[in-house]
Amino acid sequence: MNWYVLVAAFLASSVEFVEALTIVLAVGTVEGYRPALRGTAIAVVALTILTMILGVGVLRYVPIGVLRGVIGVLLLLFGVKWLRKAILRFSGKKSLHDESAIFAKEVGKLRANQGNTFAAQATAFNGVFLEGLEVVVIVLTMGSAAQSYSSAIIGAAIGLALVLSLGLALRAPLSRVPENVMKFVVGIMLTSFGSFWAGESFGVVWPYQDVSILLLIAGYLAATWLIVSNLKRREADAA
Amino acid sequence: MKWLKEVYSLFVDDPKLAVLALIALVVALVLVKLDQRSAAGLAIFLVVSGSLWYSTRHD
Repeated sequence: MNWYVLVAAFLASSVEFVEALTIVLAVGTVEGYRPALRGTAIAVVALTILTMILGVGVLRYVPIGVLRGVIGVLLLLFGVKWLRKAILRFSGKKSLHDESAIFAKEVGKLRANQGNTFAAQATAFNGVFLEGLEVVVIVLTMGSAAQSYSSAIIGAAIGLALVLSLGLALRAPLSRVPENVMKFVVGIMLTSFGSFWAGESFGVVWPYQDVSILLLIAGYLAATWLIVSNLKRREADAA
Repeated sequence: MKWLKEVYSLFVDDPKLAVLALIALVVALVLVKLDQRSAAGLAIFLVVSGSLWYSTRHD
């Protein structure tokens, strides 16, 4: 079991599942749960087919050395994208992610178009498919780069079970989930993994092998803290 | 082509940051070719951190 991969997959997929749940709940609230669940089911089938094509096809035909390089680059791009957003949110340059506000906005949009069950179903499909696509990318890239699909799949499955059970119990958006902090942690982890695996595939020698991932996590954490502090100071000076 | 845009936006938010992250890897590759394999890792970390600083500062 690769614990780094399991934790990163769990945190990243939980965040995405929370966002997908908000959209499905909004559709369910306005148009009822039949179109919401139908859209969700179609999205899950589409994602499953995509995962099978990408997962099985890519793994069978692309050599592992090339695959690790490509995956490292994609993970690094994915990681810096998440980390950039987290830095902007924590420094106050971008508003914090608020599931209740997103739920209210979605409900408002759906109410304006109420009675159109096809559009509602399409909204649920889009929400689940796009958020799910990020989970697929995380599971496939981390699972194949660390050669530990089981860890990535278990991490994502725990995230899904947790979010689904909380969603069913509360029937409300999970606005108390510390999504902003989770996104920040995931951004740090993905950037660290991406740096490590992309570097390794190019022939970089990392000191102490896998322990370097912890060093990268600590390093990016320190760098991010410095950037956030610097941005906050600049904002304060400008005000 | 909409799906291509979706895939692109899955990985790229700020194109400048994405290019800088790729430059970090090119720098590492050059250092590996110069047989500076340990320094290459440090270069990735420093260039990526600097890129994040640049990208968020100019947002």
